[in-house]
Amino acid sequence: MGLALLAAAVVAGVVGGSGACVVVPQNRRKHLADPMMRFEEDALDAHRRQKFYTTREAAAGGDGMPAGGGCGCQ
Amino acid sequence: MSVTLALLAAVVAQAAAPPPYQIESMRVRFTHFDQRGRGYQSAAGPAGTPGSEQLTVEQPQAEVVARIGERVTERVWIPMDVVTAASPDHSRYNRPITDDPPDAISTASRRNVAGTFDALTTYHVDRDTDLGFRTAFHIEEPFESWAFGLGVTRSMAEENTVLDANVYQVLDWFDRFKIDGMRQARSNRSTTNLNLTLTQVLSPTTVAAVSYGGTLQLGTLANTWSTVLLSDGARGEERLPRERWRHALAARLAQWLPWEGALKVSYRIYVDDWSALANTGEVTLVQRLFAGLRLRASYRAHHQSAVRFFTKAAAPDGAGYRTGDSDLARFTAQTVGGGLTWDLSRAGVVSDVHVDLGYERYFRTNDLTVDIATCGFGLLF
Repeated sequence: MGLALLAAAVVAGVVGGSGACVVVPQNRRKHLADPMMRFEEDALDAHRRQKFYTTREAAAGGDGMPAGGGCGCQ
Repeated sequence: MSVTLALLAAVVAQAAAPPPYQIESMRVRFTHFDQRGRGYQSAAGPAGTPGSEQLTVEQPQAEVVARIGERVTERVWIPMDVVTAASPDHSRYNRPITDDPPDAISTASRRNVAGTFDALTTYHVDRDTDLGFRTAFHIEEPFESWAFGLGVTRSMAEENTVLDANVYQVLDWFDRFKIDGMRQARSNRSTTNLNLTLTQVLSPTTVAAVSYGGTLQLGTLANTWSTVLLSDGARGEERLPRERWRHALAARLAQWLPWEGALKVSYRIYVDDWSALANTGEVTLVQRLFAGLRLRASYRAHHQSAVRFFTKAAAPDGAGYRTGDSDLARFTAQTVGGGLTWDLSRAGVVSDVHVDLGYERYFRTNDLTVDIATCGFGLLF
């Protein structure tokens, strides 16, 4: 529960703070639009990575992707 | 004359109408996993010692994304897993209840095929808002699953800030076994998952994201055939709580590098009410070699504590929760990998042809090593 509150505080802080960020106009975002800059370049590759780790480690979620079902042993 | 004009107007209107259905992309991927190691939950080995965790997985995936009219995008995705020794290859259909024990308990050598049909419909409400609806069905021999979810994505500040929230519900139904292979009955579990992600442009070359994921699992959380090594050398059943709360908080950052490269770093902390605490860090470096050819190198480190009821030698007459599962133990894991990505632009009617090859090695301190080879191919129209 403590971590949930921490997460909420961080998200709220970033949301609140984002208003103070410099707005980068679209014509200056060409580097950000490069496929190299995506956090996950390929959805299928992201899936195989997520499934691999969530079936072998006690750490699932937190990456904005749905955590699958499966047993407690993951 | 007026009829001709009316027909002409109708033809022009038809020609100007947006295509009702347009394929945007098609992708396929094949991944091979080769796992070796030993774990206390496995009975595949000499008595009184950790058993084999050897298995291989062949994982084909296919995905089609199509645009339907102006406001709807449909993604259909079919991942499959062909796994040796991962689940009991033991169909309940047309078999007596006292039939042969599940494969994972007896020989751990056969294959189990698992398939999923996953559909995501995205409705573009306006320029800044998308709504997503997802449903998925999963089936393998002793196990069926249904997932459905809702999500909303909202862009703000000229798309410099993107907020994404989604919730998913997964329902599993499966056969329950004793550790000697006797099938007992059907059982079930529920997984409810909430994700919040905030992505923020920080500069013309930097973007960051923070995410929170919360998950509640209820029901039979054991796979029911994993065993626990007892202090007298025999094996007993695994006993897990019927509830688990899981929380994860992650931060990611991508930085453009002036020599046509990108650096991506991430950190995640995870905690749950089984007393598992995990820290995970990852760094990826991407370098454009020429045109659409990119080279990728990555390193990931993960450390987790054991759940509070993990044991390597449980009391034979002990009550309460217990597990010997190596995935719930304390360990440190590392992954090193690399790959090549090639994007060929404007090849005929296709706007982009995507090819990638990758290799990773996952190894950890409690005797598990996995070699992973993957290749992907995609067409963007």
